[in-house]
Amino acid sequence: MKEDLSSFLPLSSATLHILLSLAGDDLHGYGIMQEVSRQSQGQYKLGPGTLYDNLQKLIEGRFIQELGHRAQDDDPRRRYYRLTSRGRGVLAAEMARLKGVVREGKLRLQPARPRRA
Amino acid sequence: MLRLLYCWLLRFHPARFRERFGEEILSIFDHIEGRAAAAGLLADAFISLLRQWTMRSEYWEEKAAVSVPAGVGGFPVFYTLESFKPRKSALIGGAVLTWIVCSAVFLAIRHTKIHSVYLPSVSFEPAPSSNAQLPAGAPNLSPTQASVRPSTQASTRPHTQAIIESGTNTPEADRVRVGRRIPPEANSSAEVSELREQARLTSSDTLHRNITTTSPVQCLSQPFVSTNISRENPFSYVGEYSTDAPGKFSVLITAEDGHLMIEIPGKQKSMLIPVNGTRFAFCETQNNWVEFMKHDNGAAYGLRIYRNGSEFRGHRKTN
Repeated sequence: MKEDLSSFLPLSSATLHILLSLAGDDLHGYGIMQEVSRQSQGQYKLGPGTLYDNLQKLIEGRFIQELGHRAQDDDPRRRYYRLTSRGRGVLAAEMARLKGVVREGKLRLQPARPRRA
Repeated sequence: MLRLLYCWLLRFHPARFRERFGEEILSIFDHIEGRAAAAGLLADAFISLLRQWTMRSEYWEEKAAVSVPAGVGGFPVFYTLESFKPRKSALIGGAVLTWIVCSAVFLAIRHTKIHSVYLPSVSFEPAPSSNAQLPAGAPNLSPTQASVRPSTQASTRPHTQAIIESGTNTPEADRVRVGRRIPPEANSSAEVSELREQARLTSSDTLHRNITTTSPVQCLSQPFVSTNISRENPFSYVGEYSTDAPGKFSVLITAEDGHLMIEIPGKQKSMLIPVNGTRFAFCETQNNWVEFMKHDNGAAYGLRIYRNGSEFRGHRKTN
């Protein structure tokens, strides 16, 4: 039975960007910050406090999971995070919602067609 | 230095959050380059601290320890009937809210314009003998003369003691003695004027509150010797004054038997008791007063009346 994820929508900007950054690959905290900055072209920046506050909520909600430290990483303090299937589902639901918003916006912002006499 | 400060901020985060993410957060700080970026992380850490303690209590609730110490015979010595403990975030939020409310109340009290202040009262009592020794040549202002002395036990400040004495015909003694006693050596008119001005300035607008109400019977039965208002022009205040009070009524100032009298429409004529050079108290209710405003040449051009809690001004009518 498919879980209804619409109750978690709409996602906050920070949550959306974090899920979006983990959709491509597993990342550690600093990597998530850099990926979010890259995706938003520098317009949206996450601080560590905001990042880990959202990571905490996402972990509690089982949208992401913590992988721990990777041996090949030079900093042993870093821990990696992965998007779960539940997180992927809520991200997809949010994308569908935003598509509808964009579609409505395009319809409203279209220039008015000239009426034929 | 910044890293130390950052560590302290992380240390004050909730224990669970600090144990779980503290090392990672610190590793991010170590990879940041530049003091500006580090300062930005400090600000972010401070905001995170506030957020965690005020809005994330559901993640950091402490579980109450359940331990019942065993007593004699297996019965507990101490048993908590209720294991409820308020959340830390609730306590902190309550403390912050209390501080805000108390500060707002204290600021409102401090900056309010209306202040109720308790001031010591001064009561006037007539002299024991009407035939008090008068200096030779004293002006016969009224058939009976009495000196007025303040109640010493009531007055606590020298400037609230009003000693009114009848003056002699000499210019030096012919002056209003009010507030502080003018020393005899102040013979020059300049010194007298200066002392008179000092007496007027030191008497505050709350002076009228220092004067207790004297019974009307006592006031009228023992007429006071009015001060020599102005020997040069004893009727300088006499006249009709149009006021800005509701109704725009006119106040009439007259002189009778050496006393200034005030007539307000609809009210009984009242004697004015001199308080200082230009201020006079109503005889019946000495919490009310009249203060005359004079030009440099001594001519009165207006007055201020404080009566029953209201104050209004009047301008002298010119014929």
